[in-house]
Amino acid sequence: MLPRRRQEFTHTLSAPDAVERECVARIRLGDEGAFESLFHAYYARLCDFAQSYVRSPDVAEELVQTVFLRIWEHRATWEPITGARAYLFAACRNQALGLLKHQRVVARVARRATREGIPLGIAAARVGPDDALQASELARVLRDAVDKLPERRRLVVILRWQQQMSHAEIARVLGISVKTVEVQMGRAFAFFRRQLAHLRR
Amino acid sequence: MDWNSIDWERLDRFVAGRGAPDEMAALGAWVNSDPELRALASLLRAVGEPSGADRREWDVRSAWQRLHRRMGAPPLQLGPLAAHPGASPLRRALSAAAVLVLVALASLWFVARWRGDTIPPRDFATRRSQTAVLELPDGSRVMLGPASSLRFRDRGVLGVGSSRDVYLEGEAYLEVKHDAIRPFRVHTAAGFVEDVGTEFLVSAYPEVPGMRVVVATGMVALYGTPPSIARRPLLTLAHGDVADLAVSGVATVTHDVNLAPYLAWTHGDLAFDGARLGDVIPALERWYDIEIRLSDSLLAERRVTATFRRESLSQVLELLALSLDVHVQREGRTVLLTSSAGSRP
Repeated sequence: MLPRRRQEFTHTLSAPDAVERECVARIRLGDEGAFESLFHAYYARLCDFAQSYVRSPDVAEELVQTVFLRIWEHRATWEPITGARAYLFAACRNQALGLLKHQRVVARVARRATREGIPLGIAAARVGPDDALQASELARVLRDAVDKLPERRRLVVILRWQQQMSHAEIARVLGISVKTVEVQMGRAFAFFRRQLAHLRR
Repeated sequence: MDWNSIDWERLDRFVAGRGAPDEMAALGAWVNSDPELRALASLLRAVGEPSGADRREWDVRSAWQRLHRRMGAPPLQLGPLAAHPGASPLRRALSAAAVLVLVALASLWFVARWRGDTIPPRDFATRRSQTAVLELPDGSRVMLGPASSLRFRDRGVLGVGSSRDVYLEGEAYLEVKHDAIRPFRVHTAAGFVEDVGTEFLVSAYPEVPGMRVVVATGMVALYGTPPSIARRPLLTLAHGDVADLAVSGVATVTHDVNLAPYLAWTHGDLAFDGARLGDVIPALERWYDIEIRLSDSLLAERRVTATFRRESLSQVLELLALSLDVHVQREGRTVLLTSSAGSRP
C-alpha cells in the first residue's frame, strides 16, 4: 500500500548557524523570547528523539523539559560550543542514558509491549494516508530493520534521516569521529539493502 | 521498482536534505518520479519515530507553559475565550463558518489569546472595491485585497514575542522584513505560512475553503492548521510556486507558474488566465462591489482570459459579454448573466 497523498515530497530548511548563535547569545542575557523560540524549534523533535530511547511519551517529555529547565537555570554560563542543536540532542541522549540505567527493567518491559502489543490492525484503525503507509509491508520491514541495528548505528541513522543532521553534527552529538559516522552510515546502507531484498512487490 | 537497485547514497542525501539547492532539486525530481521510492523516502524520514498507539502529537504550547511555570516566572493569565471585546471580521466569520473551520479558528483564537495577554489586537479591514496598504510596526508592508481583514497584536509584530503572527481572512500581498529569530507567520483558517525572507501572496476567502499561497520572491514554508500536521511544514515554496492547501490538509504545488494573473490586483489590475467563470465571479463581486448571478449553472464552467486595467464596471461587463458570448442584464448592483440565444447549451 502506498500513500494516496499527491503532495510532493520536498526537503525542509534548517536554521542557519549564525541565527542559532544569536539566539544562544540572547538566552545567555536572559532573553525569555529567544529561549521560547529555541524551545518551539526543537521541543517536538527532541521528544521524538528521546522517545526512541525511553519508549514512553510521558517520560520522553519530562526528560526534554528537564534538559530545557537546566539550560535556563544555568543560562548565564551556557556555552554550547558544538552548536545549540547538537548540544540539545546530546543533552537529551545523556539524560536518557542516565534514566535508563535506573529504569532498565521498566524500559525493557515497555519495549516488549511496544513490539508485541501493536498488531498492524490497530495502526490501520487510524485513518489517513500516512497510517496506510505506516501499515505497509515496506514500513514493517524498515521498522524491523531499524530495531535490529546496533544501538549506535540506530542513533546515527535516526539523527541523519529523522533530524537531518550533517555527519559532523552527528559526530558532535554522539561524541564520535566523523569517520566513524561515515562507516556506520555505510554499514546501515548495506544492511537496509539486504533487508529490502526480501521484499516482493 | 527493484529494491536492490536503489542508490542509497543519493537517497540518503535527499532524506537528510544535505546538498546544494540544484542537487536537492534533482534529487527531489528523482524521488518524486517513483511512488515507491517516495514512500521509502518518507518512511526513512520518520525512522525511529514511534508508530501506532505510542505515537503522540507533542503539544508544544502547553509544554512551554509547563516549563514556563517551572522557570520561576509568574504564570500566564488565561482568560475565557469568549470574553474578547469587539466584533471583528474573524468573529463574524466564526458564527457563519462550518464546524471544521470553526474548530480551526478556535485554535487560532486560543493562540492569539495566549500570546497577547492584555494587549488588544488591532484589526484592519477593507470593504468590497477597496484595497489598503499597511505598514506594520516591524517595517513589513501588507497590501490588503478587497473584502479582507488582517489582525495582529502590536506586541507580536513589534518584537517582544518570539514570532510575528498576523491573522488573515481574504487576500493579502506581503513584503516581509525577514528576521530569522522572529519568524513572520500568516495564519488562516486552513493553515499558516512562515516566511524565509520574501514577498508572497496569501488568499483565504471564506467562500473558497482552504488557502492559496503564491511566492513572488524568496521562500516560505506552508503549515497545516490541525496540530497533527502543524509540527513540520507541509511544503517549502520558492519563487514561482503556487500552492493550494485544502481544508483536508492536503497540499498541492505547481512550479514555474506565470504569477502575473495572481499578483495583478496589487497593481490595480484584475487578470484571469483561463480561469473558470465560477471562480472569477467572486473576485469581480469583491472588486466592483456587485452581485453576479448566472441563469444557468453550466455557465460557471466557461473559461475567462482577460486583463482589466481600471476599467469601469460597464466596460468590464461588456468585455465579458463579448468574450463569453453571454447576455448581460444590470440592475443597480445586481448583474444577471444569461446564455445568448443560439450559443452552445
